[in-house]
Amino acid sequence: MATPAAVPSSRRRRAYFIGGTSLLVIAVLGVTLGPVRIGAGAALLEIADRILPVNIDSGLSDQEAAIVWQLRAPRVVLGSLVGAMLATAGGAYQGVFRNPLADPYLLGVAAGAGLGATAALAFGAGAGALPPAAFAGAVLAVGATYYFARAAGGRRTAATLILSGVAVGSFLTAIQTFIQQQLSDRIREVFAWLLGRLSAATWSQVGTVLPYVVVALVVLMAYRRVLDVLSVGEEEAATLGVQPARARLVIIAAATLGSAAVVSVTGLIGFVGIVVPHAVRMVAGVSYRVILPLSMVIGAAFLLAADLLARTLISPGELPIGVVTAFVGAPFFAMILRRREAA
Amino acid sequence: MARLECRGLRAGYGDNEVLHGVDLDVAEREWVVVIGPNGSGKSTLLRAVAGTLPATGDVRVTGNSAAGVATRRRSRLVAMVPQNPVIPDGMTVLDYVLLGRTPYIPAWGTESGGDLRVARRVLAELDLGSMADRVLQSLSGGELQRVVLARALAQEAPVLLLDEPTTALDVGHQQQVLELVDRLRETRSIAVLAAMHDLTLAAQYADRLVLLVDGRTAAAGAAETVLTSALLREHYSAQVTILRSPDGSVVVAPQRSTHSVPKGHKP
Repeated sequence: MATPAAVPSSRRRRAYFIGGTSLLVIAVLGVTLGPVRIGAGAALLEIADRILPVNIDSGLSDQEAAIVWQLRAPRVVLGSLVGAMLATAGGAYQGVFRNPLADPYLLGVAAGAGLGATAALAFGAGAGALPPAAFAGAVLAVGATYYFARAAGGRRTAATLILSGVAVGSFLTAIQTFIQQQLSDRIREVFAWLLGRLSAATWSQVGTVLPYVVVALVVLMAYRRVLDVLSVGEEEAATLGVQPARARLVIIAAATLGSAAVVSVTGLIGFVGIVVPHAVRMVAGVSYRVILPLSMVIGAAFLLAADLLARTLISPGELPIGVVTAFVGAPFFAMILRRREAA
Repeated sequence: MARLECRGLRAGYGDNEVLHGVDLDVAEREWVVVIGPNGSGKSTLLRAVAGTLPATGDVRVTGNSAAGVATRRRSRLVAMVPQNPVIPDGMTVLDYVLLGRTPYIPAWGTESGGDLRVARRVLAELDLGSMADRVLQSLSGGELQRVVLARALAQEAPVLLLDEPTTALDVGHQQQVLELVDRLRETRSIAVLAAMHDLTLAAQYADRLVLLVDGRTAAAGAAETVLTSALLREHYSAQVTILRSPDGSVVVAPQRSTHSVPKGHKP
């Protein structure tokens, strides 16, 4: 790879501007497009009417208004939260582990959430029990990863944690597969969940996820400079006044809780956490002070765009969003990679 | 009062104690070099002083105990140039030097204008001003070593630790870096503690040498008293001749064993 050049700050500003504008445009498209076409102006007026304490007449019929406010708006908001959370958590994991392949699922969030959801179905719980079960599974899995890394003795290094995460993840996935086999009649439900979906988004889901995502994002943003310090390795970070083990714990805890919360509601949406931070890195440089906030904005825009495709490509049917993120994201990523190599 | 005082310093890795109680003083503007064979505990000693290894015993900086204080406060007292610094991919020189300001930046904050001024001043002092926006990977070995030194100086700590600061450099760049440290300890009134392999260079720049063997001080003092062929034979198992350079400093010349015979020459 060619020696990377420093990124001028004008390019960073442009990246923020482009990211922010596309997020807005895609969000507006998100409430406009669908089997029932609704004008952007009317949709925005309807949303303003609901949010603002004044009465605005959007001119929409009751049914159209319900589509905007009950179906599409929560979907757009939930999609932005999920995209922002997964992309930011992915960037933070890559920084903490100094590993470009790290993503929010590295320490067992995915395996734990999958087992939690599967087990809930196995015990005959309704769809409403899935999110709390998945969340509990995800948090317990990462807790187990930490516990075994510590029990392994010696110094708690990032490598020990990753290995412990692999072991815990494989173990939980094995149990999950076993339960699925016993449960063949309800297996479709499990798979639908595993592939990720935003289609059932409601305001109450937004309300469930929002506090976790806000707290996680605030903590991660606050630690973005610490991530830069950690990029010189744990020992040097310690001579610079950062306690690596504690910083790592805080960052992982925030990223895990946020990811577990969104995963528990939308299922496993892959690819966002790994591709968005890398795309941002290539455009805006290696400093986490830029990578994290930009990943947050662009992750939200990316997920909304993927969702837009998921529900329009085979309309009125819908594709699982996890399929779209990978199907669209991978070639897009390959393109950036090539352009960068050529530069 | 010495700038840096260590008393009964013990440290190691897990159950394996490497440093078995070392006493050491470095005064303001003084440069003390720790020498010793591989595995004698030189790096362990520096890590124990820097606080990156759990250690027992007392470490004092300007009279105040540095043992047991928060990592953050410790890094305002002691700065370290590691032996093999991790060079983050794609980071600029200025961003890297700003990492040295971490102990002064609030946990949730970012650099202030003051931090930026300190970083730029250090860069100028080390003749790196024009390289602020260069990416670390584009620098030569000598430039990189100066940048790592700049990061340590940005910590504005009264004690500077150098772990094998010249290992990867050619003789010209070795001299350049050591001359730089020699000047900085005067202008910044810092105490310098370095671990070095090259005994001749150590003798040239150190005010005092400390010979560390198996985690204990085997000898300490001026170069003439520590670098004797008897001591080096005993502790390094090395055959050396001690010479004097024209300026009077000690030169350690390794001696070839007499019974070995050059290839192609049969006796």
